[in-house]
Amino acid sequence: MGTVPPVTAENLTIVQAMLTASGLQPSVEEVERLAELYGPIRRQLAMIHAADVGDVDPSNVFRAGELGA
Amino acid sequence: MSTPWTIAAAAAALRSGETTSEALVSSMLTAADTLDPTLGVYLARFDEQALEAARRADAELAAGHDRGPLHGIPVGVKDILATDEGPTTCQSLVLPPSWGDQGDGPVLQRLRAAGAVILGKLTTMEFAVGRPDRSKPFPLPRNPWNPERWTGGSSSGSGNGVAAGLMLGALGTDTGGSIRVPSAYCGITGLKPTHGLVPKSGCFPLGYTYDHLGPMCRSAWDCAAMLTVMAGADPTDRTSVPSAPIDYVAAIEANGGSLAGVRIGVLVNDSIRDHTAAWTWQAMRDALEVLRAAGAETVEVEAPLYDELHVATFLGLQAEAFSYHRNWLATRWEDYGRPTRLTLALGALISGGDLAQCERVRQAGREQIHAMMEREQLTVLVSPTMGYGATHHSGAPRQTISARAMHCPVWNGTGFPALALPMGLDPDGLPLSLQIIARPFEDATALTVGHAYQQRTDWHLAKAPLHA
Repeated sequence: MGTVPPVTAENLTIVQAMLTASGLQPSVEEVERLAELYGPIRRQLAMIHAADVGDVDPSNVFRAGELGA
Repeated sequence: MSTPWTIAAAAAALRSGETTSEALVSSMLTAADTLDPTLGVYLARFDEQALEAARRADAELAAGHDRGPLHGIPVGVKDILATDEGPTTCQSLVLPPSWGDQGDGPVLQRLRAAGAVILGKLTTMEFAVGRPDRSKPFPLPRNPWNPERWTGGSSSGSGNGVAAGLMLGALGTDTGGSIRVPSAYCGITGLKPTHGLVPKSGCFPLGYTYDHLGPMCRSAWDCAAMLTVMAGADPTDRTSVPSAPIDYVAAIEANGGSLAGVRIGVLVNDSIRDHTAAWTWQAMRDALEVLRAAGAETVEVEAPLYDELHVATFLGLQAEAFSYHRNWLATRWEDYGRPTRLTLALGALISGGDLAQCERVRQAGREQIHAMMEREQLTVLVSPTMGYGATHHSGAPRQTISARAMHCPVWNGTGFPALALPMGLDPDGLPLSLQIIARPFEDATALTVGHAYQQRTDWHLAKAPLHA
């Protein structure tokens, strides 16, 4: 409990590149913190891409009145 | 008489002549003078306008013009909603003051037309995201049950304002739990309605497809009274859904408090149980006993795709929030509080393909949970709202501040209505909360079950130590 996973060089590179591409300029310390948070996010992204959602078409998700059924 | 502290009681007292709207508003403003420096409820107060509106409400009632249960009722508004009276800050130095010039959106207009008296604008977290932030010149919301504990967010002032008796109802917004978390932590009742039931216009966006406006009050009855006024499509919000008006108060009173025929699915997914304190789970078991005594049947079920929905909701709303804030983040990074800018910047790390997959998970989850409720003939689902009571402002145990201890976000991702209501106290004397989830557009069903529970218990009437 409470241990912080190490920031990998790969995650640091990805985070720095994506922040730069978006025009953001955090401090070095903040980039490292974001890279730290990116580790769990990568695992979460892997989880949702592995989810068995079949052939679901999400394009009607927010069409009014079509929630649920 | 003492100041009523439910809308139902105040509405009765106003009509019996035991009090007036002006007296209600005056007493609550006076109480705020004393308590607000500790609790951090208000960002702006509209004392003069509120007293004037209260006097108008009294004159109308005296003349026989009764606008309904909200007539003359003092209400607060989270400061990410524009209002006619004054500025909207979103508790941020970044938002241009001109954003609030649009004035009342449809929900504010409807509340005023129903006679509600707007007391002021209430604290939140910057742009309804991030964590409590001491680095910026805004009040730090504190919990009336223990000011060393947080109110929860992001409808923080709506939660502690109602809990402290400084108003009878409040408008909150909920993108990942922001109505239900402060309702849980502060020991009040809050409803995240079905997505599309209440128009969002006039509310600063966080996650466009996850945002909901909803009522925060003492009781399910009070929430029903507010929702009756708030619900209904408006052309300024294309996602709002046209539907016949519903009198939610009449709906929840229709069965006389009986839950005969109601079948409740108790969510027992590992990720809920693993992130819930033993005393919270016991409080829910006790609540289920009450519901069974009212005639309900309960059965344990696991929601399909629950963990994936939890994750997809957080990732998706971060991406949507980033789309709004990107240009400001690029030019005004330092003007944001640190927790806010780091949270928003995470949205830059989610690709277009990732976001599309979040949407696929949401749609699949919505269909599969709906199918499960059909198959198991479930009227509602229940879970704890939060795994733990209110967290410390700093130094909180890690498990209590984990996002996984929030059992709310899945219902933003799916759009299902979810009601949070008090069900007990933890060993530190802090409120615990039950969440009741209904099928889309069956908000009245969640309120009915909550109302039946509150007819048999008085947790919703428990007074916090710091109370007017």
